[in-house]
Amino acid sequence: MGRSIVETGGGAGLRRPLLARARDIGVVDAGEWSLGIVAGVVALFILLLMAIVVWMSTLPGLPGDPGFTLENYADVFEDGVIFDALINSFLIGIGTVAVNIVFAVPLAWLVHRTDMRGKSLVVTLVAISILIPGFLKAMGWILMLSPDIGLLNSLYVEIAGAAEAPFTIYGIGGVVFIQGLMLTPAMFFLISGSMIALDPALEEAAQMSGANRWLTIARVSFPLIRPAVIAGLIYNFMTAVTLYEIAALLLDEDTAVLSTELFLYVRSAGGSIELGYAAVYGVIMMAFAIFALWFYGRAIRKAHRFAVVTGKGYRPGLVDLGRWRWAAVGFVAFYVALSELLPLAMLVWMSLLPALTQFSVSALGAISFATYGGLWGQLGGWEPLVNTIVMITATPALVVGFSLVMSYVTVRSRLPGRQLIDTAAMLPHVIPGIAFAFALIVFGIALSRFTGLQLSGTMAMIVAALVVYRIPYCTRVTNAALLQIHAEIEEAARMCGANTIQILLRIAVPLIKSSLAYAALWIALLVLREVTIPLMLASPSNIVLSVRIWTLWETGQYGAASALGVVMFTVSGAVLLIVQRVFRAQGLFETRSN
Amino acid sequence: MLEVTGLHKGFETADGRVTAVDDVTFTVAAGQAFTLLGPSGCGKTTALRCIAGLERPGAGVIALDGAELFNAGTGTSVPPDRRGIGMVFQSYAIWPHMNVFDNVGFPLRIGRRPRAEIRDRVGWALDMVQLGGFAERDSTQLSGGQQQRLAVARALVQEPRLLLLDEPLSNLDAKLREEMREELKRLQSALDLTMLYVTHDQSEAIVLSDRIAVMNKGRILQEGPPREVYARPRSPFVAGFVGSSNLLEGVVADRLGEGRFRIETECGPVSATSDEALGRDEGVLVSLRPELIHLTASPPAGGADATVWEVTVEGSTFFGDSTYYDVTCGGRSLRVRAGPQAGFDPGNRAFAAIATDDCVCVRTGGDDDG
Repeated sequence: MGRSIVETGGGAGLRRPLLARARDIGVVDAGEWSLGIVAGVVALFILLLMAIVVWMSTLPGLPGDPGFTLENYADVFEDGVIFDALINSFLIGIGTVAVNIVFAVPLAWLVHRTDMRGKSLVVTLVAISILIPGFLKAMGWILMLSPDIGLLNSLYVEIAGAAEAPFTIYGIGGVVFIQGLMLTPAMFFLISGSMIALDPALEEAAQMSGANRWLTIARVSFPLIRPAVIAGLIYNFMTAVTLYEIAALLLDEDTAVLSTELFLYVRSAGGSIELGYAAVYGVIMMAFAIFALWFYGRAIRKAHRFAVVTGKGYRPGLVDLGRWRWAAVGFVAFYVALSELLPLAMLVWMSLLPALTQFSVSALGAISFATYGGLWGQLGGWEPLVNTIVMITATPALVVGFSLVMSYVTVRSRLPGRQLIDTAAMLPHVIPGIAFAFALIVFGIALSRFTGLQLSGTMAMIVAALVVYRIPYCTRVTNAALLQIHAEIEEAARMCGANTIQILLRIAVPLIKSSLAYAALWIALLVLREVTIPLMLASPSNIVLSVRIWTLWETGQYGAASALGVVMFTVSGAVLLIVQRVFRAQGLFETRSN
Repeated sequence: MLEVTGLHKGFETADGRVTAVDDVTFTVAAGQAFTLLGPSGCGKTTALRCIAGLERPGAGVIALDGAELFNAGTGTSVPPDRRGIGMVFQSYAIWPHMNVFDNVGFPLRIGRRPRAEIRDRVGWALDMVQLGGFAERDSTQLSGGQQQRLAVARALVQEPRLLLLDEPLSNLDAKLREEMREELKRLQSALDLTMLYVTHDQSEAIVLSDRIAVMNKGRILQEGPPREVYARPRSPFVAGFVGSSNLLEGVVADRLGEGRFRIETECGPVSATSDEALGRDEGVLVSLRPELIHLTASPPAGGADATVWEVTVEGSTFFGDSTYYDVTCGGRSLRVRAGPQAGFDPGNRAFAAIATDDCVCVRTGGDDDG
């Protein structure tokens, strides 16, 4: 029986109440119901957070105050900054995806469709780029191109004797450049699938019809991968429009974008009216996101339709690069240098300079490890370290646990409304992280006013926001993994007397544990580099590593910020390598099939 | 004893409502092997899954040893893990992350049985299916036939009151299939198992079962001991699906005696049998088994209990253990199965003799009546 078949249980079932039908369908036991309840609560929480943003935008005062108003909208639009913010955010979105295309499409093509050497190294380098948080990339480039302290500028001034610094990273162009580098890996992996699936027979057919290599690429290859590229563009555009960290570092107060405006209304003075204005910005961002999700869904469907895989075990015809081979290596090196090597090198160098030393060539001789010696104090002692460890262990554990339950309910159960669970799990995919952080702030205030429970400013808030933010990522992994288990594998356990919970724990989880472990590892690393959400929810008692780097930078302690950034990248890289090796030794990453 | 009464199961698909199981009723006596036989999509697997509890029927009653497992009327539905039914799946559904011992021991572990008992019972079950030395083997290292045995051992280890098998041999190659068929028969009689078997393979059904039920389009068309279903098909579908058959259109010309009729067919008049009260001039189909038509070069001694037609041999196909002849008789072609020895050449005239008992009238509407 295909999965499209919906059971009705014989009689005229459709008009009966939902619960009566639920009791009627198949083999729903108490365990299945409890999984359904957990999944439902998580799904409702996601929807609640979105509703909170809308609700807040119509409140005259603090959450919990009575009243309904549209004044917030009127004020925001009367003020006019919103129009600048919309235009600037839009420009940043367009620019970012343009940079994405310039890097990601050639990179993916070189890796998947040519005979370039060292492909696995290239893929690893692209993946490592994900480990370097965007804000560290931006900091590295500021150290290089800032008119005040940028190395390249001071070099130019020294050598050419110019009076003014010629380069600047600040401004919308800089944001576009950094975000473009930062989101290139996402684009690369999004289009890799269709590049791999492209049937070389289609290209060969074009060549047999008399088209030369370039005409074939233009007329056959690119049109076939275009849906995937468009889907990637929409996805990255949405991310780029709502990203906070790069814009916050590189834009001055006069250049407004949606995310920075939202942040300022929440984190500036802290009056009640600002929460309403921030909510208006949140609603606008979410509306954009849902609109874009619709286009994204269409593009993805088209991409799947075009994914013409013809049977197993074929090797795509690889383009012989010939003497262009060195150009290819040069291109990869160019991307790696811009995205990883140069910013990292700048951070390392900055961290080796004595405190408060002007960045200059003459300072080269003064390098020391003094900054690293004082790092423990700069970090702020045990508390931020413990907070960070709590964040990168609790978040993956909860995300994987909830995702597993939500996927199991979606994929395996016959509970009513299971498709709604999946839709709710997908929503945070497009809702900007900053909007979730904002929703949790409002949630925290409302909670304390209604129940007296004080969660604002705790680690729980940060973890809750990050969990919701990462659930869509992990449910894709768990959905796919559970779908690969043949239904009879689980039914056999049921016939052996096992209930739903026993089947989940003793059959399903052991069979997909490698997928779960891998997802947990990546979530831990992605959470570690996250700055916007913990920064938005920050209080003196829940500072984490990324927030500490941020505040050090904001207060001009570039050396310490750089040193902590280098430590953060080194640790996450080392964790990735070690954990991967341990997993492999335990056979966790081997794929077992039945 | 399994009693299934008025079982009904429908699915909602993209193209509308589909009835998979339609008013199915049958009984499997204790210690009996019963087979649901039918083409793919006939609803036999759905019926089996309803009995297992993996699907919820829309209507009907399922009772095992007198206790109701399911009753649509009262809303009773025992969950599958509480039914005490063993099941062997088409894909075997061996758990790849457990070794052979753990696979077989799983039902006992779930049932929290003492360690010593688990060891003994798993050993017994593995011996039963001749996997005695394989307990510590990784289950993914087993061959197809061994996985099949493992699946049977796992279903048997908790001594189920009923054993369900869903096309268990369809993934094996022909030789192994025959071997396992014998093995299952031996196990069934040695352990006195009550067994419900689902297959589309008529030879499996006939060899393994005490009784078979032929299904098509969700309904049971005919039920009975294999020999009876073979010898007395009551519908064209059953005649064609259990064994093969030449079906001749005819009209009842005369009643010859108790259950015997003379039928006018395209090939000429024939004496045929029917358990039903056929009326004169009623249109029927006459089922002639190719292997029950005897070809001879000279006219055989006919008589009251047989019909003889003169036929022309059109061609022959040699199958090794038999020869199939295509013959024509009154412009209608018939298929005849004879021994392997060379007999007739194309163009030869011959005589076809059919015993009245082997010549069965089938009502044309039989497929719809059930």
